[in-house]
Amino acid sequence: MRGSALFIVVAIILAAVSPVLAADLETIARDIESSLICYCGCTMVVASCSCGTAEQIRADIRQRLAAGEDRDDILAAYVAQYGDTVLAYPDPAVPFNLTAWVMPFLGVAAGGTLIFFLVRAWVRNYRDRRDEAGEAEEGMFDDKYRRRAEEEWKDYF
Amino acid sequence: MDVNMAQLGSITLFLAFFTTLYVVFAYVVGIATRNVRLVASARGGVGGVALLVSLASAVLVYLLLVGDFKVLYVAQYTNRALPTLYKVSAFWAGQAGSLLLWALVLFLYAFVVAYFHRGEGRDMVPYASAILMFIGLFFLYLLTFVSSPFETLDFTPADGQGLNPLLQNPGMLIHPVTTYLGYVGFAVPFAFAVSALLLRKSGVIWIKLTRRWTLITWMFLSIGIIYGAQWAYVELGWGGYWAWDPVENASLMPWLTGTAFLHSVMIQEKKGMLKVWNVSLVMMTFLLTIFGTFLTRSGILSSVHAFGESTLGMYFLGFLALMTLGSLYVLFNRMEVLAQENEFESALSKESSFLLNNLLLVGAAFAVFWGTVFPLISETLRGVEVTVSAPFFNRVLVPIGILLVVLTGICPLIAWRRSSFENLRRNFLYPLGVMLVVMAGLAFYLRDNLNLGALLAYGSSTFVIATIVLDVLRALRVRQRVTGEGLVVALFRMLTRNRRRYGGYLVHLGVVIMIIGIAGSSIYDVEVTKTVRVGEVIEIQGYTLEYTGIDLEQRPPALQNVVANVVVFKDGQRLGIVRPEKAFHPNSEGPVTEVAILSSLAHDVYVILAGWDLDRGVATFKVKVNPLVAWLWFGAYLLVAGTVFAVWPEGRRLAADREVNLAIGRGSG
Repeated sequence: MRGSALFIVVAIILAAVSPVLAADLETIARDIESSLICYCGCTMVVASCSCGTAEQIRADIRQRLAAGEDRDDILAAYVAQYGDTVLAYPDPAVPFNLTAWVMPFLGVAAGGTLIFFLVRAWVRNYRDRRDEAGEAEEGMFDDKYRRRAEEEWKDYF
Repeated sequence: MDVNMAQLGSITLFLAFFTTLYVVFAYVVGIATRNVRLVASARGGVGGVALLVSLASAVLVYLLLVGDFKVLYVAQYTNRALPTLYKVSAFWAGQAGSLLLWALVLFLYAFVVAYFHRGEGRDMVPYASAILMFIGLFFLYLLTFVSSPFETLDFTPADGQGLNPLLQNPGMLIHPVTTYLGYVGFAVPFAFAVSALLLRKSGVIWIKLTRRWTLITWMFLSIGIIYGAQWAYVELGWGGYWAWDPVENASLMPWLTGTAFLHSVMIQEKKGMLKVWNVSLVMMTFLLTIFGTFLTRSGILSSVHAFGESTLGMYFLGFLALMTLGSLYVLFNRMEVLAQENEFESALSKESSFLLNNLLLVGAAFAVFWGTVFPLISETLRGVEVTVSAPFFNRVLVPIGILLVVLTGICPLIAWRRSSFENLRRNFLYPLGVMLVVMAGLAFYLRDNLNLGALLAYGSSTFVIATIVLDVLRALRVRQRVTGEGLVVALFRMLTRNRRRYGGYLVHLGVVIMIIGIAGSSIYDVEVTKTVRVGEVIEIQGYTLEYTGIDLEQRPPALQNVVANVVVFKDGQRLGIVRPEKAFHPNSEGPVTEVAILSSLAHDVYVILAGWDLDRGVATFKVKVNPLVAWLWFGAYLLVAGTVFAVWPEGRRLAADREVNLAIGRGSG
């Protein structure tokens, strides 16, 4: 009974998420606006800038979309005209720029791997010492933990 | 008279520099030779320098207030028409003034450490003071010999250039001061950490001192960041509050590593582990503040906050290198002090969840760092300039952020030492159930405009709230059963008996409420730009905005304010009038946008006057409806309240009450 309730809840979430993926032209236009830096000097993305230049870019994007250009064409045209800095993120199509995208996740993955091996070694080490000391396997409350429990009891009451 | 005041300022800084030089020398020699009198003399010097730097600051405030335009700094950042409050805030509007603020805050902290530190860890104070004074010496060198706020002109201009109109906002009175209190404050835990290593101490006192100072400075930095976001929201006129600007990032990085430390230090407290990691985190946090200052001062990255290109960047780079090498030397030289006990019993435990929490927080700090410096790396290695802005940071940090929120729910409730399936089921079954139900409800409610990121953000936030509520209710029930107290008394005493735990819960609650606000406002914001005549309306998200005309006003220091009047209705009911404007300032090339915001718990109606034509009687408005922005501010205040609650001293009466209750508890148990 509990399992089927969970299934229904998850099914509702999945069903609701799936139609979201279809994007209309206005959504694409806003995505492009968020991918380009306004060249008025404000250093903000076009979607955020409210200057006249940003207005012109917004109009141009919609015009290009209406003329049949897709997102990548439009971004490439802007990069060709204004250089790489007009793009609000490092273009992942350039191999060197991939490092920008990959490094943070590699860093977390490397840290995660290190933690995994450290924890494994610590746990093994602890068990070895405990076995050597001949302590019981389960349910041990040594004096130190009993003292700590008492201290925490004091903290609460 | 006033020129003499400028000279007084210069002389004061000069004296402060040489006194600091003496203080550092006296501390080092006094400690090395165990000369108590020399150490006492150095301590007196700390007070003297704090006084001198305070005096220099007071002189600068005076010069700004009287408008002595012969002083370059006063002429650059104020003018006659500037309101008095902003004359005061001009103190930190420029390079030299903000350096003086850095020094002022640092020496006041050093004064507090040297004179008000009582109780445990007193032997660390001379060491910590020496380190703080050494850091201060660097800033005083810059102020005295490189960038002085008291530099004078050969002539006296009739008026000053005035303050950047964007800085003429009440938020600018609070944001820089609190940011500096946080940013500079991280020097104090750093100083205590290094002192503890030098004294070969890594025990409870070290943890207590470093943790408390970190918590206080972390709170100030949190306030600084949030007021910076509020300033950006109301003043920059683009409808958002965080643009992943390099200087914003510079404030976020130490905040993230400081947060990591505040969590991982608990493992050291309870288990005697992660000592090297904790010291490294404190060092990293401080070094990131110097790195951030380098970013702001060097002008190597374009930013709305930067002080422009200057030679100061090289000084900061050199100082950063020196402090990094010094920190690493002390760390490796004292590695044996940091030998850890080993009590890691199981991978499924609170200890592990804290390690993961640290991994994600430091990973997030690294992602921010990497994205911030990548343009420099690209330019250096490829010779190609690239921009790394919001799309990069959002895509990289949102997944890390959501995992962090989930851990925020797990960490407090998972068992120390070793968890079991029963422990997990008992603590997380109901929160998970509530989370899934809320996610399903939201998925249904938002089915036409559903976003996976929003769904995960709201789901994970619900999970955290549910775990907190569940834990508080359980603890309350146990307390009532043991002590027989009534609901209100039991709740009050439970919260005040363990301020740290429940302060932490309040902080977590604040964070998830902020996340709800951030997700809502960044994913579900809607905007429309429309040109209307007087009497015409703009419809957006159920709101109707009627344009009723333009007023031309004159509110100095602006030359002219063009103010539009817009009446806002919701479902036919009038909510109020908003008055977005463009202000023309003499020291600004174009008009400055002053947005108008009608705020409620559900939405902010954010109105920008984009253009107008008085002859044709038309005006163009950009209107945004930003959902749940108020939640962001409310969550931030809760975060600060939680931190204050956690660090608030317990008081004797409570300690006495505790003894009584303990006796009652034993009696009934």
